[in-house]
Amino acid sequence: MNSGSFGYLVRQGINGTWLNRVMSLASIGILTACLIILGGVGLLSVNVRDIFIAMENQTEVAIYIEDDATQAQITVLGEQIKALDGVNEITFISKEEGLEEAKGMLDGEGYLLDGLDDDNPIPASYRITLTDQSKMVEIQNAIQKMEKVESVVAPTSLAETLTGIERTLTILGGIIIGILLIASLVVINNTIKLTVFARRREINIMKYVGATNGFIRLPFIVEGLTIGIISAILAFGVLAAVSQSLGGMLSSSVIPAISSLEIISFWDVWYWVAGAFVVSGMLIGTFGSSMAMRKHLQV
Amino acid sequence: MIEFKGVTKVYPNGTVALDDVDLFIGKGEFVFILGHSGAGKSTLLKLVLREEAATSGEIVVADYHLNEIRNRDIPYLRRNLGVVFQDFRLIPTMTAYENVAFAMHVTNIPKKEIRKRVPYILHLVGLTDKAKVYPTELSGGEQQRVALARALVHNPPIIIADEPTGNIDPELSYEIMELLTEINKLGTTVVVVTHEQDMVADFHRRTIKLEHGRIVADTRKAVFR
Repeated sequence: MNSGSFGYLVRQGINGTWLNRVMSLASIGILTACLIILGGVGLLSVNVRDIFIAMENQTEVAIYIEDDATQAQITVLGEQIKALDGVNEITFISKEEGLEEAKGMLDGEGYLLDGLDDDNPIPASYRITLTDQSKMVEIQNAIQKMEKVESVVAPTSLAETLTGIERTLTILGGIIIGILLIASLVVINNTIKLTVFARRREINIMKYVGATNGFIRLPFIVEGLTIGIISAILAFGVLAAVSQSLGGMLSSSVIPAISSLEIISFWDVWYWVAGAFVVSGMLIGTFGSSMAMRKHLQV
Repeated sequence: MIEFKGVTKVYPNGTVALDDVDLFIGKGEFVFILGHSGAGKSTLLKLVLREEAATSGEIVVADYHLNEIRNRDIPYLRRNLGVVFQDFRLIPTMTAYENVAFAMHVTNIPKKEIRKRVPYILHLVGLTDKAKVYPTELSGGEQQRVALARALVHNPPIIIADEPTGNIDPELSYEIMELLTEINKLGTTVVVVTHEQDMVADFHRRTIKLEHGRIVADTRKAVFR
């Protein structure tokens, strides 16, 4: 295919979008809406995930060590724990540090424990964070069996709740995105079918004068592509405006829990959103038109 | 150029449209295919264009063996065939010039060549002054000539005219037939499909007569030129 006829076909496709403007507009509207929701769900889930990761990183498992353990045994224990799959960071808290910590927890009343300095009842401990919260129970059980371990304190129910919510959100988001993708495909498919129908005579003539299928298909693909790209640009604009004002509202909120949330701003990830929109808009447009063309090419 | 060997076409509903047809049309011939509606003319045309595949038998058109042609080669087969349809099949949103140029665009011919070739062909069919006119503003005969120009424009070795005189006045039909004769003189194979006995009688050319899907007469030894 030479460049001259390629340009001709692209012009034909853009013309088609315009000639068929009512339906094109309808498809652009629906595809834009789908992309906005898609982007919204995407941004929301990124943010939720981020908050969760922050929360998870704060959940610690404490391993209290028996008082008669020797320094060597404590070191060996530390090595064993570190070798476990799913363990992220490990820190050692000595008996003295533990006592300081306990005093700290009592706020101004730390002096109550002053007399214990010589007969410290607080055991030494290891504190670990996990890379994968779902392995918490497994890790807890493994450590429990190790030598010189007095007890393991793990916030397992919190971890279970968090991973549960996360999983549900992922599945839900996936279902919503799937439905929207199918809806967009159906709409584009229909629009292109209308154009194809309006131009079936032309297509028929093209077939008779020896146009290849690729040649006949191209203007319609361009039409779907045009719809996809316009929708992507619109959806990007709307989402940018919405997250701008929403971000402002959140950070100026009087509720500290909300204003202190670390939101991933739209502008931190705008290139991802733009890329995803353009790619999905183009894919949906192209795929939708190819589907619509299939029947009419069989002459 | 066009060869049928024992070709039978049965449609899925059981209609036998062509029944064991043998046919040979050589390079540079001018042939009428005569028959009433339902005699199998349209089916014959569809088989030549590979719009339909034969149920049995062998077909060769412009060196393409249609029994074993791949789908993606069909467009290239069709570039050897210029077809003038009974209903003209012009695109109403394009001028006469654009309708003709369209056939060239579609087959990847460079613009430069299109700009040279289209005016020449329009001149050949006597439509130079109607180049910028839309089909709806043209008379039946003029539309017919645009259709003919479109069939001719990429210089195909075979021209097929399907009832070229069906939709136009008798004197205009004569004009079209004269044009086809001229084209034939330049070495192009011309096949005219028609049901008009009179027209066939006026032009003393080889005539293949179809009835109920069979060839009942072939005036192979007919008067040539």
